[in-house]
Amino acid sequence: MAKKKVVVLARRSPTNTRHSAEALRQSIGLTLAPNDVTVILMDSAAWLAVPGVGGDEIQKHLDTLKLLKVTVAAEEDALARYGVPREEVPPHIVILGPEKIGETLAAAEAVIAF
Amino acid sequence: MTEDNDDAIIYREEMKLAIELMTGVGAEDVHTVKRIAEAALRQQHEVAIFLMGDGVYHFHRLKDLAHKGVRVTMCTQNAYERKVDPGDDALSGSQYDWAHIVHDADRVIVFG
Repeated sequence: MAKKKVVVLARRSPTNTRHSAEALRQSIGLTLAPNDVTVILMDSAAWLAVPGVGGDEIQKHLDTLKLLKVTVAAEEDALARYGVPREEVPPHIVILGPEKIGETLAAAEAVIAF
Repeated sequence: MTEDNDDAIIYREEMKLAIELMTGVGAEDVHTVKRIAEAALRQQHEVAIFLMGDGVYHFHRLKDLAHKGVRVTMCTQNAYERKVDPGDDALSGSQYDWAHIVHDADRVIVFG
């Protein structure tokens, strides 16, 4: 069965709202069907790229996504805008510039924004 | 399927529409979701609605859509967290349901 390209956007700070934790939980859930899932951490959710930010639940979701080989990317501009130290972003999290994000979104068959 | 009229050829294609509703009672999104679903049904499209987050509070409002043929499912975990009891097993679901709904849909709309 052909995999469907699905992009999940996490956009909100993990410390103010549960939206980003739910974005990651849904991203894991989406792998239960033939979906090729990509998670993009945008705006203040870029902080999720740093291990430990947001607490144990979020870290558990990120670890699971890594085990499932789901691509997790962080918006390059957001890292700069929100003062996220790039050196603390682990290598398995891809840093994407605006052109690459645009390409990823254009190629997606479904985009789910949190 | 196409049909001709005097001015144009009209293309009709039955589509599968997936709608996710995550906002609660303070937002008006549920009304928009209802109107979109009803319009889609009139056009003979298939509609599936998944309630997540605060969207689970709306399952009572959307039950009549279920009677009209819309697949209405909600995330049981979010319902449990909010002490929302669907009282109807047909509405209980999980991210597994949404994964398949998304995979099968021609279009996905999210209200969050």
